[in-house]
Amino acid sequence: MDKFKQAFLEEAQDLLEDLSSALLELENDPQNLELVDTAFRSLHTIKGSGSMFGFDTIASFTHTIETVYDLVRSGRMKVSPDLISQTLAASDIIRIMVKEGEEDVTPQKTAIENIFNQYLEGFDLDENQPAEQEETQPSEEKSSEEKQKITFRVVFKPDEDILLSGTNPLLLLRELEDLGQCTITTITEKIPLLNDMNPEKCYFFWQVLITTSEDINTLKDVFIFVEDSADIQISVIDDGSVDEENAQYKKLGDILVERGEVEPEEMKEALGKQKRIGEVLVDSGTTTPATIQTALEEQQYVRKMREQQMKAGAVTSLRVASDKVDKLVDLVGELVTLQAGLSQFVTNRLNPEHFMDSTFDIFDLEERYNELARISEEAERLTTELRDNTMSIRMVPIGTTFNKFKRVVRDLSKEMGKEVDLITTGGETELDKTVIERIGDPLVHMIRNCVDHGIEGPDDRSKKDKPSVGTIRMSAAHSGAHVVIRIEDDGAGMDKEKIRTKAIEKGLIAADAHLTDKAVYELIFEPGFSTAEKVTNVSGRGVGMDVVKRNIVDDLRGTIDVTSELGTGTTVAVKLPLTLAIIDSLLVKIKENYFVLPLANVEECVELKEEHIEQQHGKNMAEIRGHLVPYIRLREQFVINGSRPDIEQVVVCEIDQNRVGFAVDTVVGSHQTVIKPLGSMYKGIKGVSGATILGDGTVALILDVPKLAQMAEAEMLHETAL
Amino acid sequence: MEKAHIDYRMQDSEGTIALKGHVVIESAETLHKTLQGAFAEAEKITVDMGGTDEIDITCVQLFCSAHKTALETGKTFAVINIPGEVRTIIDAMNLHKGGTFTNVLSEACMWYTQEAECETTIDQS
Repeated sequence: MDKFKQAFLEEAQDLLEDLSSALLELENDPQNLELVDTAFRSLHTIKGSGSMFGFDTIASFTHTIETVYDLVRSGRMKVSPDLISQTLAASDIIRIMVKEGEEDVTPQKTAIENIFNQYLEGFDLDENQPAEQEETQPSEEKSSEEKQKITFRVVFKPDEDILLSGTNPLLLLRELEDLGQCTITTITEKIPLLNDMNPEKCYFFWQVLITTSEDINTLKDVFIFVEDSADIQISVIDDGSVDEENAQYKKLGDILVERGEVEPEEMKEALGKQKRIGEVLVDSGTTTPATIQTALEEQQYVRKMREQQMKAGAVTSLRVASDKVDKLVDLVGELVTLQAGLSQFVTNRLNPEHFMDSTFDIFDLEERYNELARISEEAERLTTELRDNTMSIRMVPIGTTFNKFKRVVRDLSKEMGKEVDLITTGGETELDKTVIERIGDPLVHMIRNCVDHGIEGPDDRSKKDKPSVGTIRMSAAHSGAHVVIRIEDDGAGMDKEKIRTKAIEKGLIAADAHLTDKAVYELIFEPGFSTAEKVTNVSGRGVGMDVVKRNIVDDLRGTIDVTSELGTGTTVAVKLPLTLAIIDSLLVKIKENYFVLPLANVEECVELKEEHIEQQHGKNMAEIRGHLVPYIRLREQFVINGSRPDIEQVVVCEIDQNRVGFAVDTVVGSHQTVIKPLGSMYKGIKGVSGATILGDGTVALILDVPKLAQMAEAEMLHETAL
Repeated sequence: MEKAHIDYRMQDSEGTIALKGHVVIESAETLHKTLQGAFAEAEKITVDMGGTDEIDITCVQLFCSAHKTALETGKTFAVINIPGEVRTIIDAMNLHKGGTFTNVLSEACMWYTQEAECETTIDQS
């Protein structure tokens, strides 16, 4: 069977389980709308996926049941014991159809269908078509719950006269509430005494903490009609990336300093006193109780959100092929046997009494050594296999994500009156689950850009002698320890001159700057950059491509490469590591300190002698086969005392098509690095992306090679300017 | 929209303002003057919202101002019989958290009854 159909059948089983358990709970708690929603969602997903994979009978049968639950969801029908029983019977029929085929249960199915059709009698179903409406939404909107949620702080300070223009601020706050989970705090500190008051003026202002999967523009749109009569500040206070290390939100003092409410010096002074910071600041008149309260509110809110996210994260599941689990169990079995053998060896063959025995033959030592070496080799083999097998458990074919894009292209092209085909290849290419989860949104953004800006409308295309249907090709393929995802469109291509002009206009480059084509295309990843003359709800606000790059380069340790030809189309190639957990790296040493450089960046290692340094007049340049390569001396970068050895090693890395060297004392060799995140205390350190623990327990820092090069370049420019 | 009816009675140094209908910006001036008058002559001022259908920000602001004035002058100000829909608006605004005439760390405010430290009270009926 086609593996996607197989995936549907497996998914349907899970959904039916969810449906049954929701129904059973609903029987005891018929008013619980959350349970109704759960039941509805299960039915809706079974219907949608069933239809997508050709299980039309299941889809149409489920549609009838779902329609009834849609009425329940909208409050037009009540949950009754009879409805629960019939739905459970219906779920049994779906289960049989899923397991044994659609034909075997026709009579029972028809009977249940008749019952559900009776439930629907007398209802005007046109009023209630959320199921269909949902389907007309772009699929990434449908899965908004899966999208990363960001917490924003919105401060809305209307002008005092705003009420006179008929604006009701409460309606705007309600609109915000509809966008996500939020806490509104009304600040009343400006309210005067009755005798000083003008009752038609607005003295209140508001702080709203909102956690939403919408972007900042959607929040700004809420205030679009009052932006000239209010001070509106919207800022991200939590980007939603949460792990156990940073589950706790910022301390109160950090929030106040960050907002500029309190000066760092004032905070330092307050911390010196042994009272609660809030009390100290209020007592000293530095800030008002209301300000403290809103900051506390923010702290509590984000902590709560993060805890919720942690809990949600903890229950995500992964479907794993059973043969992989079987293999894992086998390996664990072998490990247990090996451990027993090792214990036996220690007891029987390393017992000190044996060595004291007068009959002990010294030549027996070699035999014992060989035995121990065999155990060690076996342990090494098992560890490698266990690692590979465990990592493979997290590998998921990227094709599941591709399906989502087909829907995005279908819906967007319809919305924009364009005709676009998405052709995908390499869907079977496997990537680590965490990488797949995090690459979804950036890829959706790029696909949206292709449809919106890349592919021309049918009229434009026919004028250019292009087929009226545009094509986007999306492919994935392995390339060493990486996967390359390529998105190509046959659209209008990017206009280099237009990009240059816009970049000069925005002050991103100098008017006389000479840039390679690659450097010009790189500009589209600058924050706020967009050449779109018209902002659509799809793209063009210039918000997004910088986030795309940040997600791919910083979060996923990937690279992104754009090529384009005006009139012909654009290609974006995204290169991602197979996994985020282990990297192949080069271990180097400076004095007693170990560092790790990702092998993907490393090109070669060369020796650096004193005379080479003298030849370059002390400048950090190494001559390699006639070419000068700048290098960064890590000893200086990390302020490691002591004199450098007579012969240093320069590890040459490729960064953005440039060669940069890193001078170290010794190159230890290649190393399989298990990445450990740095603690929250070290999170902001630039140039270091993590740490790893070596065999002897020593900690080695993993270097962020591109960032180190950037820092060195910035420092050099600064010195030159001085 | 039913217009606001503002009825003020004074008895034994206690002033009662009864509100009915839509107490919104159109009636803010009248409510303001009524409250000022009540504060000028009464020691205890009670607003009965039993007949209120709708309020807006102007009304809430006036109550906050009256509350602040009560604290300043040592008088008592109370709002009673708040209808459910009006209560929802007040709750949604989360007023007690951003209060200024309260000890913020104890969360006391006229809209927050559990730990009310001031004389002003609110009836949740």
